[in-house]
Amino acid sequence: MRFRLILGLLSFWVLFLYSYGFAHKVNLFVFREGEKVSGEGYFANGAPCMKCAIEVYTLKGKKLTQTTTDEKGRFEVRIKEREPLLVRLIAGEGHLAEEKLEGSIEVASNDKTKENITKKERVDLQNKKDVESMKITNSKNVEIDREMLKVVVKEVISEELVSFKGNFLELKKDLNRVRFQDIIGGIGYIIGILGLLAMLKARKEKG
Amino acid sequence: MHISEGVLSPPVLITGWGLTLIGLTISLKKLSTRKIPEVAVLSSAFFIASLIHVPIGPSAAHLVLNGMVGILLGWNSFVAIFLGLLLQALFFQFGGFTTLGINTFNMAFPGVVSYYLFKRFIGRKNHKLSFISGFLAGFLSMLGAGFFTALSLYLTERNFLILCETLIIAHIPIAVVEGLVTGFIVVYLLKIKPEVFKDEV
Repeated sequence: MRFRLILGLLSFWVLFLYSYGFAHKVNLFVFREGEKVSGEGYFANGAPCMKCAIEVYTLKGKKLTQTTTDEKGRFEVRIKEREPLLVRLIAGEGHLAEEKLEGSIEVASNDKTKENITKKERVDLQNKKDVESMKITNSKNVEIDREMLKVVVKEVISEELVSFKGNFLELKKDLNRVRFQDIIGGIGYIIGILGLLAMLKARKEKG
Repeated sequence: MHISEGVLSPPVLITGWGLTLIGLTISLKKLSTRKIPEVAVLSSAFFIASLIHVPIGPSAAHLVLNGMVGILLGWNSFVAIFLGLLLQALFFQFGGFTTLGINTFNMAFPGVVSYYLFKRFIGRKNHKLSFISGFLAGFLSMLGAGFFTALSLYLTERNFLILCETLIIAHIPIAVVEGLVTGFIVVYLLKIKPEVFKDEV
């Protein structure tokens, strides 16, 4: 009776402790914008991969930099090289995720100018000057500084992309989650493969 | 417990495949047609067990059930665990195909050792002793899998003590849970289907 009681208590504890979730497969999501390489590491259940090592390599295997993820599993590094990169997330205990990044087309970064006024203001100023000169000379060949235009467009796109990146990451997390049909499919495969083995063994035993 | 692709050095991967192929050969030779349905059920249980995680502090660990598979199947656990791991790699990208050999050995071998250590104490007459044997099989198989995983990583990384600390000490709580689950299953099977413990493998 006492033994049964202990078993009952232990089973309650086990059921209390358990929650159905997902194993420790680690995933990596990386973005590259100019010199900035940022991303997020997370486990299959969407939990952040905290304080995990991040290493950035060239495709030839040269290590460029390393860092660790923060408490939200995020990281950000600056890479000056334009070539394609390989980002590795090392979660320990043999868990690793890798992601390749295309080479950056342009190295122009937001830190390019060090003036007190912002780039947007500078472009506005430049545009004003252009309009003024246009009025004065009435010339048709107005040229806006290409570099400045790129910086401004980039800033606006970056702002717009924040929500898109968030949605994209959520979508990627959803895709990485274990689906019920995969579990059923896996069990089906096991039964199928072993059924085939049983058939072969039975034939061998008959023959 | 599932070592990912790209972590281990080629000699470790080749050794893992070699050991697993030896285990699979013995397993397939010993496997009788009558035992195949049991292997299928336990392989399916192993396949799903990794999806059940237990929160341990800020992290979480998942069940392996290699002790339960080992104590019920003996050498046949190599076939069950190999199939389970192959499908986990295929469907969920747990572990990997190059590491399939070493992962199979790391999880199946402690189960086989448990079979030879504890199977003899499991019987209908003494449920308490059977529960304790089941518990120890689950507990030690889990820690054994942690030890072999640490050893595999050490042969590539050379920081064995830190790995052992992470993989074994951190897995003690989940090993306790695993031991309890195995103990319960052993006692339950003794009540409803005691003949599963009679088969020699």
